Amino acid sequence: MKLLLFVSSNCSHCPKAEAAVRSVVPAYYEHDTSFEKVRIKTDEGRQLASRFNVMSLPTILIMDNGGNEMKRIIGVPSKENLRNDIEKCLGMKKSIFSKIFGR
Amino acid sequence: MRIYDLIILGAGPAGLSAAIYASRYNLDAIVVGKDMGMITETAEVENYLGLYPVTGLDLAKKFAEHAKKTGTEIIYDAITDVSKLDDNFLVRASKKEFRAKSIIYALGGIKRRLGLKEEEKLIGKGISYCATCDAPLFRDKVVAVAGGANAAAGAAILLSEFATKVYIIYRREKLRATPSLVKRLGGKQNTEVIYSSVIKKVNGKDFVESVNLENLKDNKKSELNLNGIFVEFGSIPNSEFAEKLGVLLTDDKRITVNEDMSTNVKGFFAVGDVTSGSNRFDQIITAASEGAIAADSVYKFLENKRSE
Repeated sequence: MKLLLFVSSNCSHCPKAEAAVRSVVPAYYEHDTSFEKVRIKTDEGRQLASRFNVMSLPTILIMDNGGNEMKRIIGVPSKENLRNDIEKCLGMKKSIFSKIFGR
Repeated sequence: MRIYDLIILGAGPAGLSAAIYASRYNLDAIVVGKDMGMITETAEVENYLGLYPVTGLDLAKKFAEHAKKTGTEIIYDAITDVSKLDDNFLVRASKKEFRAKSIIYALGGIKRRLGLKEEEKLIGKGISYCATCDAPLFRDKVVAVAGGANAAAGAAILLSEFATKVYIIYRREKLRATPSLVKRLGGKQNTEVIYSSVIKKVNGKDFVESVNLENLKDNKKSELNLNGIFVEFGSIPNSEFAEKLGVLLTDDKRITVNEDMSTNVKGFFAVGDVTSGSNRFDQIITAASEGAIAADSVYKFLENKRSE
């Protein structure tokens, strides 16, 4: 799984989002989770933003290993919410439904 | 708990200017604020003395750097409450509490929204409140700016560099932006102002696809296909904590201030866009000026208090 963090030097909230990602993601390295910072002013960043229809900064996309979007986080997430989202995408957190019915 | 001479609430231009002057008076002061304020969302500041051209974010960084160089401690944390405690003030932030003999309240404003029920689910999916941050993401797309004052004109000028078409949707018959901005806007071939109109609905399941407009003069309704809407309606004064303390507000919720930036509450001063000061001319330079005046007033207030 990979987290793509879309940022720009014009975005005052982006450093906070990056700080949250840098603080939270290392705990999940052993679960084959990585993180990439995408600067939208670069050619590659522009292409990625266009491909995934990113329309706001900061945006974090949690991608599966096949390159499919699993979760979109717009704005600065709290560390707790980011942990929850990562764990849900990794299947570490089960929904109430699955806890009750075992599915 | 340490009792500061002064807590400055807000780390925007008004608050940081107050901080610089407070340090010149050797006041034991700190600045507490969530971030550097709305200035960071201004694409280009072209009217701040001596610094041109400069982006709002760069100017905000310079202010913070300057304040820190004078010895000011800036704590970036969200304020959750402000109250009176004996003869002092108690400020609660999300991580810590602070106590002081005086307050300079510089919490500015909160950006207005469209006020439509579908707005929340389309934030970041076509609805934006920060052209400076998001404009490059709308390259080769069609966008609209809602509003007609300086912020709207500035956003439209920036967006015209990226988008194929920029509409400005404004409820009045004439833009309120300064003539220099209106002139610059007029020079952009891909911008068009839709006057006397308001957005009634934003359409789109996953992303913004179109808006429903209503003309206020003839009530004619129309639909405009687009990919993005930038909301630039100005701001609502962030005066809630002051109101709770009993600080006198105007009808439009600005803090009523005297010439020395004092309020009806002893030891409580207010500056910047949240006040009725400077003829309500919400500019960076007037905010900075008010900050300087307030710090001087706090110094005098504390001197008087000591000699009482």
